[in-house]
Amino acid sequence: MIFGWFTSDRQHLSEEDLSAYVDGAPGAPSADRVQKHLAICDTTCSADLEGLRTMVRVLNAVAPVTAPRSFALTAEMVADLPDRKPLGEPPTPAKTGGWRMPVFVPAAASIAAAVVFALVLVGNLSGVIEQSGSSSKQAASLAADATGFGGAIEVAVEAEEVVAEMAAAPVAAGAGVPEMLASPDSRERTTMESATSVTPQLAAAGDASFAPPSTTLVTEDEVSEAALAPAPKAAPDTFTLESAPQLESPDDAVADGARGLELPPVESFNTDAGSTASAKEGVQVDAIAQAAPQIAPSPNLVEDDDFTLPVWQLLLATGIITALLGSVSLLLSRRGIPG
Amino acid sequence: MTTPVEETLIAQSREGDLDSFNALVDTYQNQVYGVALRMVRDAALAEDLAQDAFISAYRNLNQYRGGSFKSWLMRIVRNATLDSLRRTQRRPTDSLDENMVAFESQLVSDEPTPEDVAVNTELGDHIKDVMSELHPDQKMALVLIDIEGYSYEDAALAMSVSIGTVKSRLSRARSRMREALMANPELLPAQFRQGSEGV
Repeated sequence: MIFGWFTSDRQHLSEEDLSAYVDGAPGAPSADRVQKHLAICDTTCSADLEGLRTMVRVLNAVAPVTAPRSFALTAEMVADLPDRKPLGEPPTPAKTGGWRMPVFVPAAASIAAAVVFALVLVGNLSGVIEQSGSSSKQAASLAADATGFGGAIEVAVEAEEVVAEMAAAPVAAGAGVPEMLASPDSRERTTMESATSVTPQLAAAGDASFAPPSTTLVTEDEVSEAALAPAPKAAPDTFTLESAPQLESPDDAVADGARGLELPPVESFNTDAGSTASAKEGVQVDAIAQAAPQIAPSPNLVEDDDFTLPVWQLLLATGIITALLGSVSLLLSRRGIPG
Repeated sequence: MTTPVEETLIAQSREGDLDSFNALVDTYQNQVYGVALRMVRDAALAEDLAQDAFISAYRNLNQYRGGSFKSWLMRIVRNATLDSLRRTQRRPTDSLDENMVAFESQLVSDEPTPEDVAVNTELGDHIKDVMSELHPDQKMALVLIDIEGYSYEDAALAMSVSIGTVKSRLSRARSRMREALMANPELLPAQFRQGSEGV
């Protein structure tokens, strides 16, 4: 009962309600409610309503104003306008045809990118857990591979093995390379030594051996049979031999013949080899120098089980793609492209 | 709402037809000038504001997106008058008093009805004084709805506010005006006084 006082007809009408009621404005209290309240109201609601009506009638009686002159525009008033037309583009009617991008396309793209990002993140975390249980060698290899130096480290290990094998090899193995190193006269010999240290197979093939192994272009006066004898023995242990064709294409090598041996990269190895006193050291340095830049593209350097994607780069790329998709979606929505 | 004739005139005006736009000017120039005069209470300034409002309306006619052209036009007038009032408040001049006579004379039309005659100069002065004390936004609501006869919807469009805001502003202006008129019932014409005597 007591709460009914606030919601019943006893509640006074506000000035705004009275004003709206006089005009019959939208949201105004109903006539029934006003009349019921006025019938029981013992204060000034009736006087306020009557005074309000009087005031409105007075203002409505105020005569309209007549302009003292015409405000018609002249050509001079709009002379600064291009073609004397209104500025800006006229409003275009709403598009009724043509292709419209469905509303779910930007949203679906964003969600898909987010899902991919989450999958990559989860996969990465699980991969880290597995890697923690692997051997220290694998961990070192993975860590080094992630930083981009894995190739150099692994090649160094492999090169040491090659050197050890060559050191334990028969004299014939050492007789081939030092014999060629001992020839001080020709540039071709020096280059040949470098090629031998890098690629024993190519050394066996001779000056024109920068062509692929299948291409056999051998000259008699450059390589002796004795020097060629130990070369095939070292071949299985020197994985970097496969990178030799990168120095020059096979066709060029065939066409150029011995001149192909004078390529600058080969000469750089030659310098290193020449500074060493023994073939063992030359092989080790050359193997490291040759293998280091080639370790990344070579699948033989890292075992398949240990190969992982550059995780952080992948995450960064995924994040950028997600941000781009979100930005495009935002731009499309703000441009008002219907969806 | 805008009539089909007005829509045609607007479309032709957008093509640079100045005569079509001047037909719209002829239709609304009394309202534009009247609102400007009642807002700034300066006949010369009201003329300038009305002329500038029509020029601005023509220049920006492509921004009109339909609806009530009268409200769109009155929004330009309102902005112009409010800017003028702000400048006047910062730098008051004597021109207001000199042009006040023009406002008073406009309270009575050239061919008065009995009620117009009743709203005499003295009452006009009183109304003018009360309106001068109102906030510009409240005064605009009072002028548009109670004097110019705008609907709440059109007034809301002209003032760029919601209908609820219009109701609120109008209520406060009316309350102040009612108190002033009821405090001086002798100024009211007989027909109005009769209704207020019972108060």
